[in-house]
Amino acid sequence: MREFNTYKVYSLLIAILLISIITSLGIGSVIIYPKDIIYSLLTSIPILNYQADVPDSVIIIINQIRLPRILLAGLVGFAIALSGATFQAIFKNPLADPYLIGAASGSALGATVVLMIIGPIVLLHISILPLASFIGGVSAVGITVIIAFSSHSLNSNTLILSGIAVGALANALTSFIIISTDPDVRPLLGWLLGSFNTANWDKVVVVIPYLIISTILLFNFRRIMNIIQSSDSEAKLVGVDIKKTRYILIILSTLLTSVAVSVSGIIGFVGLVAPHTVRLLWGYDYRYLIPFSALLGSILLILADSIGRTILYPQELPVGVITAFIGVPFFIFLIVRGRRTFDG
Amino acid sequence: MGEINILKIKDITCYLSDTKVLDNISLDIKLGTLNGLIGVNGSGKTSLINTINGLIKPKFGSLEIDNLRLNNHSDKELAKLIATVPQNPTKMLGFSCLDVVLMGRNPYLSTGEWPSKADIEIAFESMKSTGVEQFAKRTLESLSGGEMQRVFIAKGLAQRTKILLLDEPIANLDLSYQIQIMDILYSLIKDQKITIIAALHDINLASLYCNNVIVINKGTIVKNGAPKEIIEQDFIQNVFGDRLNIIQNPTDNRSIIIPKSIN
Repeated sequence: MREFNTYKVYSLLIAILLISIITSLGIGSVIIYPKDIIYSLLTSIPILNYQADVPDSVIIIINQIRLPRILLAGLVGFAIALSGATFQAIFKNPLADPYLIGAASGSALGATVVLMIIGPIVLLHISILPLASFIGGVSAVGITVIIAFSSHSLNSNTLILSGIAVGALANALTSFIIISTDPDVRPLLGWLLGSFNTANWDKVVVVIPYLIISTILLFNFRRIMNIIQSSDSEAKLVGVDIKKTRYILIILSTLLTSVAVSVSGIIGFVGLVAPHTVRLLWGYDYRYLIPFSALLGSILLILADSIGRTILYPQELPVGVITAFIGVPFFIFLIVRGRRTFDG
Repeated sequence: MGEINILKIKDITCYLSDTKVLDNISLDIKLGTLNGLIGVNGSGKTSLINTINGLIKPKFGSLEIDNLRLNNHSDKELAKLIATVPQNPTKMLGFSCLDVVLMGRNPYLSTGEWPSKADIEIAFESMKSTGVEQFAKRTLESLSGGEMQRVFIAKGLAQRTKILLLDEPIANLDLSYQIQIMDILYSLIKDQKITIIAALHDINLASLYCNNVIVINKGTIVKNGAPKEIIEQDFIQNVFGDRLNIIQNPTDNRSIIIPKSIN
């Protein structure tokens, strides 16, 4: 049993998160120092009516370009890591990741259909893109689970294999729709690889309500997530309605993935790397695994995006490429180690 | 003690897929008794346990607990009436024994609620009853088989039910641990008036500890009574085959079953 002080871990993660945000705000085409970053941020708070002794261009770079992008990366990282940790809890499968079980590709397909064929639709001032994305994601996860169940075993191998198959089909359909409707595929291709280069405040605002609702609901299920790590019948014997619980959790975690995909495209492996790093450091209890993973996911994606937009400057690498570089070795490590510890 | 029937099973018939696993079973269990469920592999012991706890829905017949007929009870309501220690409970990786025992408090907690001080107290009392309170902070996987089994029994006790079911609680344990677990079950009926039904392989241990032994064969109850009524040459041979002998233990005159000598 790992002993740790919860508050210390929370403080540590939040401190790293803030440092990542400040650092990322500073780096890019123009290097901006922390003092100017703080001054620029203060001008964006209307009630302060603060006049900074900083060039307007710096204020625009910080408040209109970098801040929304970094916040979006942080929110998306939070959502994907939370979604990954929840999928792992539902399927009792350490390799379950929104990308690997088809949720992300299905969400991208849903979003593409709306973007390319129907066009942007706004209902009651809320973009329906995340909802379209959600319908695609939930269908893909549903098909993945049905295929995996038809083999009469919901172990690591069948779930991931059917997820990859469903994901590949969804990706193929997405490419087909994009290429057949618009000859200039570059902008959407960039989005599909997972990217924040179109980030703006509107996208931040779209993500927040979905994120708050799913996060609150998922946090409520942390104790139950622990219980369902035993067998289905054992969970039922202590009074857990296992079917209902599974449906609710699948819907919430897919919703998180879909919202993330609808604003940033497909970003793989954060849902795997963040929860497993937390497991290695602080153990298996979902009470802490859920919040710690979400914070770590935020940090990881903010840093990955900063690397992506600076490492080949002036060229920009999609963040999905960076997370794949970090995530794939991690994935291989989990497969090799997993044979001993938790092979389904 | 023992005039109240806590559990009444009436004409239960159960199917698993298309196979009839329980055939018209009727059984009354008296409050505060230790009941041994005896039978060969595949005789229907686990099916009977899982019908009582609600995992299997009977096709015909009815169950009554404390004069309350079970129908359409939610999983939570059932978990407040009956606790079960299944045959091979999951050895939950990375969880402390206290965490595992506290999962037995789930029936009393709403979804987003964490165990209260009172729940933790109940968990510790349950662990004391099975002698594992010193392992509270240890992980489950660091314990021996016998210690782990006592933690799972404590988890069942934390549900604070009147009935505790155990499916083969002493299979795969060394003899000393088997006796230790049986001693614990015996103390539970004596000190806490819990009613226990346990599927057991060992007829001798069953007859030593149980108030009542139920012999089940091919999905029907073939005998139900005090141990001394069960251990009877013709009957044992009918159920368990003709390679067994019954002898009298010279120290206490108890009948015990031993395999016949070779040849």
